Amino acid sequence: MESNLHSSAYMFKSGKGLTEEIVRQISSIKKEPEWMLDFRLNAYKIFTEKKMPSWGPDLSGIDLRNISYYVKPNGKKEADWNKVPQNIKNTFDKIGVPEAERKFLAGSTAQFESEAIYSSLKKEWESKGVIFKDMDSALREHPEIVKKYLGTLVPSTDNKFAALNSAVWSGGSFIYVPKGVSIDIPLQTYFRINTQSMGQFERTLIIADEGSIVHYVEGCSAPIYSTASLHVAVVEVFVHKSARVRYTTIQNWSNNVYNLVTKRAIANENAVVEWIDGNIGSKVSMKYPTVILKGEGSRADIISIAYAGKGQIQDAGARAIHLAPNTKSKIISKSISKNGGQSSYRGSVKISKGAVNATSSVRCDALLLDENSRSDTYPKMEVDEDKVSLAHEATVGKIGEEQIFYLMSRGIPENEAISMIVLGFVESFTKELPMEYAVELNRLIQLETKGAVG
Amino acid sequence: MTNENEIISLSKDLNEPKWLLHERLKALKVYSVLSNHMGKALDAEEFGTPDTNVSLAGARRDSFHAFLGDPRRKEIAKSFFINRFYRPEKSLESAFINAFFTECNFFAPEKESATINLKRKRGIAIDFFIVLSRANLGLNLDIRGASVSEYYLSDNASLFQSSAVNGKRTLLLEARILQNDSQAKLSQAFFSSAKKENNVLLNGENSNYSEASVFISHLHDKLDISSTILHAAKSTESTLTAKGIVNDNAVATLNSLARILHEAQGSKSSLSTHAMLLNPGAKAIVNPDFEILNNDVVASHSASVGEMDDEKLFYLMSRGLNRDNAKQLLVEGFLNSTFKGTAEKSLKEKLDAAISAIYKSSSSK
Repeated sequence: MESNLHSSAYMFKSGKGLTEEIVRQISSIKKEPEWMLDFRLNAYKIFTEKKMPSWGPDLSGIDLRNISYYVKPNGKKEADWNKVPQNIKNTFDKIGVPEAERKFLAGSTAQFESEAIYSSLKKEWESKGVIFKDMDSALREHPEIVKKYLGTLVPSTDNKFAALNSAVWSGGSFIYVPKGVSIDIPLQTYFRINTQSMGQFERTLIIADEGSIVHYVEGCSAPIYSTASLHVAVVEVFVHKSARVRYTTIQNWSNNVYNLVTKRAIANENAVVEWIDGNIGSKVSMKYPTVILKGEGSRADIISIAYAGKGQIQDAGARAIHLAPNTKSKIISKSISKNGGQSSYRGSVKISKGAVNATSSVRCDALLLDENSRSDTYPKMEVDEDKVSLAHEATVGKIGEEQIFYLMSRGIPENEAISMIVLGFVESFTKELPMEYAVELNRLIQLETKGAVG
Repeated sequence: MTNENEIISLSKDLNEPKWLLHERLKALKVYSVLSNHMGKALDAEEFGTPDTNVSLAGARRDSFHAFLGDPRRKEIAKSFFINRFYRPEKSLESAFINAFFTECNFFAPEKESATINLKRKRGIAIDFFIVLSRANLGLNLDIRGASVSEYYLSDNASLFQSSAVNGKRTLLLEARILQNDSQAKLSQAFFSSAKKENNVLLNGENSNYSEASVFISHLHDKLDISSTILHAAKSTESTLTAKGIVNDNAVATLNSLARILHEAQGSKSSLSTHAMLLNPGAKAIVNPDFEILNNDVVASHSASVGEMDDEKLFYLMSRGLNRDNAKQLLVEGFLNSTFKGTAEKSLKEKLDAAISAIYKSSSSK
């Protein structure tokens, strides 16, 4: 989290706006190899040429000239806890975030005290040959792997923000899991020392080699306070033959943030990719986790929830691209709009020629909690092969009055009844989360729907 | 510019007033800009000279051009035309028809209950259907060529329409505007390439629109159907169902969007699209979209794309049917449930004929 509450705490901070010179400076401060500088410069050129997306939510509030594209933290982060807004502190209280985590989440410490747990886990991973680092260290220590994979799944030409991220990226996670290695405990950004994972332009690269299994968890349901108004991330996940990757995100950006993320995974033969994606905060989020089912028998599960409160736009969705026979995708999307919030499901399933016996099922449900909120659904289905099965279903509506009435007749107050129904609505999502995340998320939903944790 | 001269002489032949020529030239300009921009062009000659055959029962047909020559009617005809839904700037297709149309009609029931049969073999036309309060219009269309059709339904009016499209060059732009308690029901079947755009404005409370479509696309057919339903008043209802088969190397694209505005409380919308692909070369693209701006709604959609159910096929064949007969039966079962009413009888007959034609031609191969 590169909060610039105290700009004096940074060793280097680029001026506002983006120029080729700044891109060069970022690369030289990080002492990057020549090819990485070229990668950045090429991306910068594409960024200047590409237009803003012509579809989706209004992004005119982003002033690209008024953003600092690189802030190098001075070892310790010392944003002032006293300056963190009261409403965020209150939320920490109500959902029960441990004291040490609170300061970390608010950007006022660089890490919370989990070093002991972390180092024992780290030993275990390392003995198995797992690499789990921040991207900048990975580039220094394993340049050959980074070079082989970076930008091959989400090229800089993909979209304007992918180009921006490629030009100025900093931080993010790097994971390499060797052949046949399976990691039982989820790798979490929480654990990483000197974390820069919540940077504004983080870049994440995960490579699961043949037959390996890994679960990565980023973020948390507690609000992330950031004074930076733009978060542009790129995530690339390579899943080799028979490997399995689950990528869980829970993000609750403060509501001044534009959160624009390109997430893509490629699944080889018999591989399994699972995106579990929760979007709660931010001003505008645009996020469509994608799986390219390239290998025969590969599978994708994408489960997401979006909560749009006052003044928020959640433009989320999922994409599955079937390129090979016997591939399977399952998409479940749940969205909740309240107090004038807008949520959209924007998804697409494409079954290419030759992907025989592909099956895909999409289910998206939206709940509108009041009459001023909005819910849009834009599913796109493109089928180029006859031996397939694709099914899509969606519903949009409000909470049934008879459901509330039933609960109230059992002595449950109305606001609590509503909150229970909402929790039930998102259960297919929360049950996929690690326990502590599920508990926090449930509390957060209670807080958002009821105004209090009961 | 040849197009411009063509339009000037067309307008002159039809004895059109200056303002109308001006409208046509404006449309041509929009058309040229969009055509350049999109790299796409339409050819007026391909749609041919007008050939429209109409039979009326309890209804009247008036020519727009005749109205323009009638001092008592020319103002009202002009105001109707000027306020049409499909202005040139709507789309490339709309600009094209507005520039090159060779006929323009007003249709209206004269009695409480009326029927119009309209058969158009070719031509470029604009038709207005005006259904006044409490009137009930039955409409059977068999249409080719390029046309804009606009339907205006006053309070308590009803429109029951069946439409068959079977001709390579078919371009249809339709708009329906429904006032309080009115209802429009459309049953349509597509047996060939066609492009159709449909806009429905549910402007009055309790207005109701339903659309049932069946399509059979084969060879190199390109079918492109899109419907946009705007719910703008309380307790409005829309139901869209589409079912079809895509054979050979055909491509079927089905877009639908239901937009329920904040003021349309108590509204309902349901979209359903199901396509069966019968050949590896066939392709289907389906986009059932929703934009919902209030919470007192019931909206749902379902879509599926897939092959014929092998198990059902196997079952029928185990009962002694040959492969083609079994397939034909399954296709019939899949498509036939769409048209249930007696009003759709002729459409159903055409559908049955089209289905047996597929299996006759394949068994003779």
